[in-house]
Amino acid sequence: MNFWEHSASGAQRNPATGDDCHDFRSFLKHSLRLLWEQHPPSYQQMALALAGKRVLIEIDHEAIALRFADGTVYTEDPYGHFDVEARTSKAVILGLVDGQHTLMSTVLEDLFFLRGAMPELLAFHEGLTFYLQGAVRAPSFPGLLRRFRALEPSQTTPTTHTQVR
Amino acid sequence: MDLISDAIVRADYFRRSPFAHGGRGGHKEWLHFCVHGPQVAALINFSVVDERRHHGPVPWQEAMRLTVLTHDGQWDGDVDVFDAHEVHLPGGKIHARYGPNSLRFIDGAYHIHVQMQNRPITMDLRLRPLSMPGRAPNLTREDGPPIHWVVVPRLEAHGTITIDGRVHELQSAPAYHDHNWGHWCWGDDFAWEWGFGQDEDPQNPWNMVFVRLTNRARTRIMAQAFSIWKHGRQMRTFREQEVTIFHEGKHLRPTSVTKIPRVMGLIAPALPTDVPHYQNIVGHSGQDRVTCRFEGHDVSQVIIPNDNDFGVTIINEVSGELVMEGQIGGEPIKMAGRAVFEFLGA
Repeated sequence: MNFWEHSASGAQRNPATGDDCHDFRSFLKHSLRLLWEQHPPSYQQMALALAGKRVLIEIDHEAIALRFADGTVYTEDPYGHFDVEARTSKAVILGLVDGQHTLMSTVLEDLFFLRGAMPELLAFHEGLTFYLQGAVRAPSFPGLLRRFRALEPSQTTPTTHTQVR
Repeated sequence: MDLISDAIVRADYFRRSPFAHGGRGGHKEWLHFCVHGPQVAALINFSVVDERRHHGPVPWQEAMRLTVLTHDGQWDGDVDVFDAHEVHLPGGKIHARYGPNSLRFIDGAYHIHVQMQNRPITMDLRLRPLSMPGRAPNLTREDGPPIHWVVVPRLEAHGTITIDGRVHELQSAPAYHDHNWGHWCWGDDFAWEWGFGQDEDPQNPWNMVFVRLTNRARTRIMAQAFSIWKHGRQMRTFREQEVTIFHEGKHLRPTSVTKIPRVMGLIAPALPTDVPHYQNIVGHSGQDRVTCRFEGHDVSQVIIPNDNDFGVTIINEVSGELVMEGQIGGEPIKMAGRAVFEFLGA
């Protein structure tokens, strides 16, 4: 099974080249690939938790949509209806990874914007938890995170369109 | 080579996992050091661990990590991970190079250099052992092979620890070292309590180490030992039914805890509720009786993802003070100083 055959995004980069992280969208896509490849239980549980849902993720105005169906995560352009919207910045993400914030504190301090009905937000939290569980177990994640840290702010490319309901 | 150095070279070398040579996977091993300077405490751990691989034909792969915790009024530290090409780790030697970090036993001392990736921490230390190593080759577990342990409970540390620009010079600072290895999975049905203590006065000849291995719920004791050293020689070890360990008072209630690797705070954000404020250890056999009382002050956590489930194993590192007194063979014992106790569990 080839991960990219299941993705609707069209991106077909070879992660071994190191070109897997030139912006947030590519970082997220490659991280999902790593999860699928290196810790399938986390990927499966994440897909199950968010089954049937569509999630918008926007980091520093760079947006990507994730659709969860058939036990798979599809990356799509950020248009249409979303069950959950999540918006924050690269600085906040790294602050969470580095233990400077908790998820709760970033939400309460308006550093992390979340929108959705309560059942969808709970499912998003569960899916995010499984994503993190896989990230701390997949051996290639530390290297991918280092490349994400090294991105210059201008490399989190803003999209020309942002999702609107 | 002096007697202590010879004993260390023969006992304390890296074993490495036998998996690459057709042996059992799931091997875990680390060399662990604690240093107490006048205004600083530091924990340094070089580990090499078989980790599960879900992809490819090989189910296990060694992962090399450097874990560092420091406290000089506030906790700092992290866990740095290294790719295989960044590591030189020959089996059969006390020699490790993890990126810019290194550990070597040469000229009768452990030489440690630390330069963390994402935290402003550097160290250059020389730890001269002052005690013969002790060996506990078979700490029994119920659901797997035993855990092995070599301990050098008394060293003196010289060198420099720099934390975010704060420089701590060490001269003959008390230090501790041990080495664990064996085959187990994080999340297996075991937990441990472990601790060591030394007097603030380097002229005081006494120091202690204790360990207790239980099931994860801590309802069954698998092994326990309480050892006392004098002038660098293991003078007495109380084992099993000769040892009584009990907690006293309430549990520590920290309002915040430093967790490493820092990202694990997202997965295990809760504060600890099961770290005792006071831990008492009594060794009693015949006319020999020694009591220890540890008072915990500060807690930090090392959090490890379990190998076979989505849980985590939490190691509570507790710094505090210890008082030990009693008698062995009619000789009185009295010691008071800083100590580090460790409580591992779910």
